[in-house]
This record gives sequence, structure tokens and C-alpha cells, in this order.
Amino acid sequence: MNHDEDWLRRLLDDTTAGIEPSDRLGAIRQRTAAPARRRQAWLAPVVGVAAASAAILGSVALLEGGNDDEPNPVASEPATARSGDPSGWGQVPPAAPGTRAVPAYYLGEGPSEPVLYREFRRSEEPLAGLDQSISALMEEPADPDYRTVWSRGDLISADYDGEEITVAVSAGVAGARPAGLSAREAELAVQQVVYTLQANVGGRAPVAFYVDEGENKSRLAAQVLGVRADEPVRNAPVLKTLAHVSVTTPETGQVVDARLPANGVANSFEATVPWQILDADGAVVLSGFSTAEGWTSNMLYPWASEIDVADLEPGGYTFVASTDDPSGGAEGDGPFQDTKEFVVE
Amino acid sequence: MSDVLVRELPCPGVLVTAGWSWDADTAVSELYAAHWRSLVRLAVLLVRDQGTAEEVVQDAFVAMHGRWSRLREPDKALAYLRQSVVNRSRSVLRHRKVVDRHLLREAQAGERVAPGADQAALDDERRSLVLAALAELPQRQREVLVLRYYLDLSEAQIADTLGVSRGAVKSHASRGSAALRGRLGGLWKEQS
Repeated sequence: MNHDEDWLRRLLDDTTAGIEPSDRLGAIRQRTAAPARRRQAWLAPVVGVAAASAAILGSVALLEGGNDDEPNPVASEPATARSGDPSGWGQVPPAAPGTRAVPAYYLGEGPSEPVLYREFRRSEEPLAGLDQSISALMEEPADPDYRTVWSRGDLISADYDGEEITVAVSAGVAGARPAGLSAREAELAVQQVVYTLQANVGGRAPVAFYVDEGENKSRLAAQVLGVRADEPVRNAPVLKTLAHVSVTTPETGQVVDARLPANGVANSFEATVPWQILDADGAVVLSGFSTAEGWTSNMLYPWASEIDVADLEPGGYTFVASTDDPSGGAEGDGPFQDTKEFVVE
Repeated sequence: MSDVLVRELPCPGVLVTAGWSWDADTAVSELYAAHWRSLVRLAVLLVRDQGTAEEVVQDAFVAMHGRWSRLREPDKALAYLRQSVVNRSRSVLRHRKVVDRHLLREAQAGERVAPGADQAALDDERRSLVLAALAELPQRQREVLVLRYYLDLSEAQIADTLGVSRGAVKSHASRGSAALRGRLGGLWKEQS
């Protein structure tokens, strides 16, 4: 042990020597005694802090609120990508100057049924409106694990008057559920539109679907893909609709060198977001976990880690983030997972 | 792992052999008894503030309880607790960095201009100087330094805890200790 190291040890020991923590075993016991997923009053302030911080960091918090009849609080969706975020923790991927990242929701597989995942789409237009969002829904997502139900021409235009979002759809989708589309997929297709447009306007406005009949005529659609739409559609509950973990960074195909910034949103047991990096053969080469800013309410919370990949050989890798499953698969359907392929130079 | 157990546990052998039959509640009691204080001290070195540090470690224990069925071994549980404390501290700092960096600097300035006269006050002042200097280091350097020199973890254990390579641990340790000595040069001479 050299002199310098010895000094550091003594310094840190001395610094902590006077610290006598209070006894919190009782508080820990109280929290571990009840079933894991309960909601307790003592956690309420934490939720508030997380939501406030999410807004400060410019990250996207998806709040459900307790009651669909009430307007839902929504953290502000950044109007433009925060490419200059000095902290480096922003949830929106950096965009080239003059472009913005538009969030769009796509179908992907969850543990037991399809769910929606969020992907940020590049837009060349700095002032993209709602049409930019519906256009994104009719394009293939970058992540090969995701898919969209919408084809070009299905969604025609969108508008927002400050209270309600209106979407014009083609007559072809304003009707019964097509063969080959499951009820769940149809429901998610409609929610793709709702969540994507709500993210764009930064609020939980209901979405009215109109059928475009040409010559400037339109009527409210009774059904869209077999889903009732005879009144404006609200967002379905977050945790029943969205993947419980979603990776924002790395983006599909992102190239990194020594360090991999990883972030996204999650609602995972005790805020733990385990991650792994797999090589081209699927072998785990690095693993760890990130901690989200909360987990106790019906929303998704930001998480972020910075992973040192300097020792990885150049090549293609897969980043896997999942929700924590303390039962090890014994209970429930197992964890949610989101994967992104990226490249180490 | 043995170096950690020797350092942190009064009787390491008992814990290692007995741990196999623990349930989650016993694991919390035993690990709390053996590590609560050192983990809170670790968290103080990371987040500066004792109240926050206690909350961070408390959350880590609750999380460990939920995960016990997959940990099952005391040394794995301890490694999980350490990793959880580091991650949660980082999460706390991310909030704080944005909110009150300014306040923090003012507080540091205040501490420096108003030292007490007696030995206890001088000790307190020295400790807050060290915590302030740690707080100013880049996050990784701070984490590596406290895991290396406070918990006495090996480079391999630190690499596992932080999810970084051993090479990165080495370089963060050397840059971090140089930076800390630069900031606390006066104390270094005083204690040498």
C-alpha cells in the first residue's frame, strides 16, 4: 500500500467516523411486511418529487392519474430535442440542429400480450405539427421488434384545438375489425394514435376520430378497426397499455465508442431496471442495473445509466433492459423487455 | 469477497455458513445488523447528506428483501445492496444537481468562511471539506474512490458494482485520487 492510498483510506475513514445513522430497521420491516405491490401513503411525496424532477430534466413522464374522468397531469413533453442538455441525462435523444425528435408509439410483444413501445422519430421539420406524428405511425419503426397497424392512407390529418384532438381517418378503417387483427391489437392501434398525439400536444386531450368523406365533409366514426369511437377516445391506463420498460437510448443502430449512454422509462419493482449487453452470439458480456426515479404509481419513470464499453471488441451488440421480477418468473408472466441493437466502434 | 467480509463483519464465518437457510426477513435483519452503518456511511460519501443517505440505504434494503429469492446468499445480497446504494445515490444526485447546485456552492462557501474555534468544530469543518471535494469530482471518480478506499473493494468487485471495465476502474481511481489530493492538498500535508 503506497502512501497516497493510505492517506485516502484514513481520510475517508476519518470523514465517516462520526456518522452514526439512526435506526431504521423498523421502517424497513414495515415496508417489507406487506405484499410487494401495495400503494402506501408514505410513498406519495416520492412520486411528487419524481414527477417534478422529470419535468426539470426535460424528460417525458407518462402520467395516468388516478381517474380517467379527470384531466391527467402530464409532465411537459419537450417542444424540441434537448441536444444541448449539459447533464447528458435527458430522455430525449439528441437531434441534429434544425431537427426534432417526435415520439411515436408502436406495437411490440409484452410478457403475455402485445403492448405499446415508444420510439423517437427524427423529423427534418423543426416545427412539426400533428401531421408529422400520424405520418410516423404509418411508417415502419426503426426497431425491428416493433410494428405498426397503420398503413399509408389510413390516417389523413390531425388537429388540436387546445381541448380535443381530432383525427381524420379513411373510410377503410372506420368500421369493423378486419380479419387477422386481434381485439387487443385493434385496441392498441387506436391507442397508438391517442398516445402519440397526446405526447405531441403535451397533454391528455381526448381524441375524436372522424371519417373523411371527401369534399370537406366528415362525420364522427362509430368504430375504428372495430373499437368504439362514437365519442372522443381517452388514453387507456398506462400500465395496461404501454411496455413497463422502454429504451430511449441507445437507439437502433447507434454507434458508440468507449461509453454507452443508456436511458428510457420504466415502472419496475422497487425501481430496479436490470440491463444486459449481449454480443453477436447472444452471450452476456456486461450486465448491471439502473434505478428509475420511482415505481409506486401508475406511470413510467425515467431511468439512466452510463455504461463503460471500452473493453468490448468493435462490433454489433444488443442492449437489453427489463423490468425486475423478484419472483424469478414464479409469479406472473415474467418481466417486460426492450432490446436495442447498437454498434461499438 | 473475503476481504470485504473481514473488514465489515465481526464474525464473517458465521454469516457465510448460516446465510443459506435464511428467509428474506432474516436476511434483512442479519445484513442490517452487519452493514447498515457502513452502507449509510458509504452513501454519505456519495450524497453528502446523512438523512438522504439513510433513505437511500433504507430503499436498498427494501429492494433486497424483494429480491432475496434470487440472491439467496449473503455475499450476493451484500453486493446487490452496494450496487443499489450506488445507483440510488446517483439517482438522488441527478435530481439535486439540477435543483440546487447553486445552493450547494453557497453552503460550501459559508462553511469555509465560518470555522469554529474548538477541535470538534475543526474536525467538522475538515469533514465537510472532504465531502464537498468528493461532491465536486465526476460521478465515476467519486464512486470508484469510495468503493476502493472506504469499502476496500478490489478492482474486480468495483467493476462488477459499477458495470464498468477493470481498466476504467484503474483510470478513474488514479484520476480521482489525484484530483482529490489537488483539492485537499492542505489536509494531505497536515496528515502526512
